[in-house]
Amino acid sequence: MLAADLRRPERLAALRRAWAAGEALRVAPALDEGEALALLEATRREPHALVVPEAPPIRFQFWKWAGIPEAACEHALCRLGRWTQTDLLAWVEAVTGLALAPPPEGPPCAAALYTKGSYLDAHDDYGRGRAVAYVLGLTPAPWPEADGGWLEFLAAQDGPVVEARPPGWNTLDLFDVRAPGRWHRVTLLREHHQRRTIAGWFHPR
Amino acid sequence: MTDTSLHPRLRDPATLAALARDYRACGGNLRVADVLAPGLAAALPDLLLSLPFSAHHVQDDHVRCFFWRCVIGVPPEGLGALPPPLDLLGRFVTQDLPALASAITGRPVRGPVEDWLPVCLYRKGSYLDAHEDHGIDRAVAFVLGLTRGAWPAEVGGHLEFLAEDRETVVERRPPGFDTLDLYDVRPVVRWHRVPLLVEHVERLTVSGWLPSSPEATTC
Repeated sequence: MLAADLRRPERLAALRRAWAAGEALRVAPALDEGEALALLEATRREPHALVVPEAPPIRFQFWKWAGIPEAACEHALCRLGRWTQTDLLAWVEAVTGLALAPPPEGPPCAAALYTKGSYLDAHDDYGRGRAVAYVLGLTPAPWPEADGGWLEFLAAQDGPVVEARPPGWNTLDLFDVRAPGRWHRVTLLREHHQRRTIAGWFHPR
Repeated sequence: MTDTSLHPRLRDPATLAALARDYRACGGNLRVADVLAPGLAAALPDLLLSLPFSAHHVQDDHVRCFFWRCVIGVPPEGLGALPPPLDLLGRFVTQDLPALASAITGRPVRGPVEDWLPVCLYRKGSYLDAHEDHGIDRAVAFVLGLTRGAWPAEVGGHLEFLAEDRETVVERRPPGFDTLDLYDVRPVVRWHRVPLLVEHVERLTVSGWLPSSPEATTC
């Protein structure tokens, strides 16, 4: 499932250096193109439920689908769920040098859909036993930053923005969340676009 | 229960006549201030915001929107069975508002066809794209503003009336408190919208439509 280029020794070495330097990585293509297309179609068919917080501190509004992958099911999302707990996990360990494990409970990952009005306010993913966050981008075409829906990394909870990434197609974002301060957000989507991702976390083994 | 939910000034025939003239002069679209009986507007927001709201998300050929809605059902026993001050809000929507709207618009209208009170809440991420309200049982639209606080138009959440191109803003009204927007749904095709709210503020209204009535009503 993983794109062949990501297994090349030179590529891995470069990613290891970037990770060690504290960078939030983005790689593309992340998957074989056919797998990415199959995942996009699978997420489009699944009903997503609106998620909003019961109460602060983190505020958000977007649509989410999450499921527990079945061992023998060949549905694209089941295969992806199993893959995140095996091959992807092993690859991320190779890049980060960390000993990792899937989340101890619940779905290994979740599909997210951002439509007009969706957003995810600034947060740093710290404090829940997580080590590495990953975001698989499944948005076929990007749009201008002014339209919103971009992933922004911030110097602090209230900004400024240190990096802004457009919704990606067949991209994989990886960033270290073992310590507080990796502030990031998805800006309010102001137009009728659809931002699709599948995201999750790895925990320390 | 008191005998009206309206501000006493709205029982003055001269005031009503002046509002009716203003309504006609504005082409059948008017904002009225100081609508509710003293104390009623202040008592409503906290109570309404404590109620459960559900997402109202529509994406079809007629309208695209996302906001939050709470429907307060009118008990079989009637409005008097609602706890105060909801009983007065119910009286406003079903009795006093139709009478007031008939007097101001010059069009006999009656209470909403729905047997519930429509409370609408816009938060960050809420919007109502351009539309023109066409539909059955919609003679006059109403928006009772119960929004505390104010913010600039670029934050969103203002009520915008648009030209035929559905983009040019011809009039913009900020969220109001103890205000009543009334406008004819027909014969003018009146495009309007509530732009996306981009900050964590809250726009609270009770809004809907009043159908035509064959009977004339008076306050």
